[in-house]
Amino acid sequence: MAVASPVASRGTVLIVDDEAFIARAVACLLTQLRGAEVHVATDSDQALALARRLRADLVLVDVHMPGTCSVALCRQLRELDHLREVPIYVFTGLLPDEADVAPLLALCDGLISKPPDPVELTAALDAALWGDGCV
Amino acid sequence: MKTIPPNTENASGDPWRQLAVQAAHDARSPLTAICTYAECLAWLPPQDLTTRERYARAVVCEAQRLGRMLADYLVVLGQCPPENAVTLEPVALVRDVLAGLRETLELRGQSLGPVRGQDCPALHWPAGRLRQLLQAAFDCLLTRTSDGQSLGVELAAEYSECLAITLRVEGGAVLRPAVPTLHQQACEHLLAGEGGWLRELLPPLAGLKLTLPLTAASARGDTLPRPERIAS
Repeated sequence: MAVASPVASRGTVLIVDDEAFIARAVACLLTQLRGAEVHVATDSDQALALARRLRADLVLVDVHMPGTCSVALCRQLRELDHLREVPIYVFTGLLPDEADVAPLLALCDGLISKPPDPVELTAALDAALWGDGCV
Repeated sequence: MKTIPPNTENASGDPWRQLAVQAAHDARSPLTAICTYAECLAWLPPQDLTTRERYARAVVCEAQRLGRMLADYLVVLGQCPPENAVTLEPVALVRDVLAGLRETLELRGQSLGPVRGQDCPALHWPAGRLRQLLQAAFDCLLTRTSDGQSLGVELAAEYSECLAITLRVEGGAVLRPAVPTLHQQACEHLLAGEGGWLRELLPPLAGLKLTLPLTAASARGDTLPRPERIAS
């Protein structure tokens, strides 16, 4: 089994998840394994405000967030010039064939399941920073 | 024995399948915290004892939440073991349940407000069921409560033979989840099964109000219908 070992790669990550405690757990892991700077937003407004201010290298977006349409959020994120080419991943406990996931997946670069595989998670960040060749 | 139909196109509207999907989805939140903090622990320098202890506490608290979630899943499936009713002092019981959740709240940067309730009538309820009902209601709110907010509880007699327990998020409202969580469904089930009901405090979800009959339906020998959503 592959093991995600700590490597200093830095990078900035934005996690959008209504359950802040869960997002913070993932933030701890990314910070510990990659020295990443991780920001957490719990709704669309916060996510957009942070996205405008930050230069994120990777964005993770939960599917079910109260009062927030994740599809609309992803469209708005994609409209930001500096996020046009940035990988956005669906971050969910739902299966890819669930009705709510498919339209979001169409706007995103892939899906990272909850609980995340640390290898998959760090590979997504490494690829965002240095391209697929390093994964 | 109840069986869940296989995952077919026609089964997408099936309530049992929806429940199984909902349970799997909800369980992934505590699982995410457990797996992620466990992974963090593995890579943490051994000398960092403070962080080590915080991560370990988070793993324990989320494992306990996962356990409560499994119990809630069984309730929604209708698997409640028979239990005799006993006389309970509601304020003491609420304080006891909250004491068990204090660490979970602290780790989330949340706090407990006061438990207010004077001259509350005693309840004649199955103790385990009432405890699970209160835990499910608190779990329902704490996952939606932001950092810095606190949870206050108020108990008061309502109508002639009921007790209202109001759980209020202080310092701001929380949003209603897009889909009722397993905790909320268990709450509705446990209440409906004993002749009580649940209301969300608006706007948009500033808390939950549980209205309980002073004597549970099971203690009176009554059998009540299950909530519409699951019984369909």
